[in-house]
Amino acid sequence: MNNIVIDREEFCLEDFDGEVKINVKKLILIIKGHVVIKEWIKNNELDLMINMEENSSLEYNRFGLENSDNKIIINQNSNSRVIFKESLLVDNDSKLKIKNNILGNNNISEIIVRAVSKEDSRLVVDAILDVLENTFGNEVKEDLRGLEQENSKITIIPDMLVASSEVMANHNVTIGSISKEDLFYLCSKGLTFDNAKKLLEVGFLTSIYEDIEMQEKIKEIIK
Amino acid sequence: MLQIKNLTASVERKKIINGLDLEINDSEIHVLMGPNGVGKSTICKILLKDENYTISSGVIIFNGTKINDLNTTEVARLGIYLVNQNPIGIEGVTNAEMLRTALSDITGERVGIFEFNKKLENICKELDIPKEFIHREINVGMSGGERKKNELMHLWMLEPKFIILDELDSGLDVDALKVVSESINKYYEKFKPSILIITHHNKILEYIKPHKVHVLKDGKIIKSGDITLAKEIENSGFTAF
Repeated sequence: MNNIVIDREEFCLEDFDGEVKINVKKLILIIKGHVVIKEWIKNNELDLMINMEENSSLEYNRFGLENSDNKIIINQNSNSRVIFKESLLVDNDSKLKIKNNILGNNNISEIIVRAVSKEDSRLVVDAILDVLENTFGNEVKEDLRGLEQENSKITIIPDMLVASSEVMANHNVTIGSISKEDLFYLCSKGLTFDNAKKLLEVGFLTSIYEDIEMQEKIKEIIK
Repeated sequence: MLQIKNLTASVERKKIINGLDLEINDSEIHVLMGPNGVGKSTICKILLKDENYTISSGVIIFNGTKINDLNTTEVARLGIYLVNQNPIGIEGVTNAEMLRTALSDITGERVGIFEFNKKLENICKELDIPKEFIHREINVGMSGGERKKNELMHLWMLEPKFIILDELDSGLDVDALKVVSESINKYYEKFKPSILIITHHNKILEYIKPHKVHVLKDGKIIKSGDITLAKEIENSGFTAF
């Protein structure tokens, strides 16, 4: 395994024209302090393990394009905070597996995924939250949404394995298509049907990020 | 400008509009009044060609073009604009993005960012809304009054020729109604559009003065007149018709 210790405030991983190119299929990130990671991936296959050190926090903003097969394991010991956001636009069969292990106490974890599937693609999102027995003070949340376009299909599997009784855990999963009401609204302003659809897709994918740069970069990539 | 002849239309196989005739000339302001559930808002959806509504007979002609078979985009591009009763919020799409795309789609030309922003900032000032609205998601997290002002911001940018105001006063307090009505009146003075006001009470008519008033019942217009008709409705209610 390749290990990278990240202790700086902002870190970019990307395989478009990026700061750090990921040429490995397996990677371990060890997070110390307060870290923001931005990542843009394309046709990517990666096994990523993130180990959160005590009192660390991570905001991981990730965007994936085309087809990918990613497995991500996030281990949280104690007093850590993880906000993991991934949006995916796929037109080929893809898989995303995220496993968040809550091993200690007083952790916060939020896993947010937005996926748009196109053409005949099949996307499977498997999100597992595993809270160990005898842990306490943890807050875990999954918010997973998919938008199926054309003949594509999305399967989202939210797994919450909670062995502790002193935990606040919730999940929200929705899969659907673009709202006809939203399309009507945008077309009534003079947008073509295709451009209205495109705006709604991009909006769906970018709305989870507070980082404007991240939003703009995704819009640019999709264009 | 707009002619509706013997229009019959339905939603989910339920006939809502039944033999409607209406003619609105250039720069005329008309009011369509009626109690809840008589099909007032249905007319908006039909004019904007919402695909949930079906025209079974009759014709709608706008500036010489029959719009029965056009889609929503094509109708909007002719210059018909709807200010909805409850404007929906669109997550992830900002006002600026939508307006830039709309203007570019309508004109077929790239929109100059500098002029675009300058115009939008002036409109925000006129409407008494912060210029941050420009880059906010459409109607998301906005109050009823803010949503209506946001819709007027779109209107000033898109410069339509025919405006439908569906229950403009719903969700607005007195001050917001005044600002919104003043903006409509200014737009009318500048561009002289035709306006169709849809309402069930005449509070809004204190601010926007119509040329003609119509009463809608059972899917058709049963009486037309001038502003005195609206006063008659206020005094005796819709049951008198």
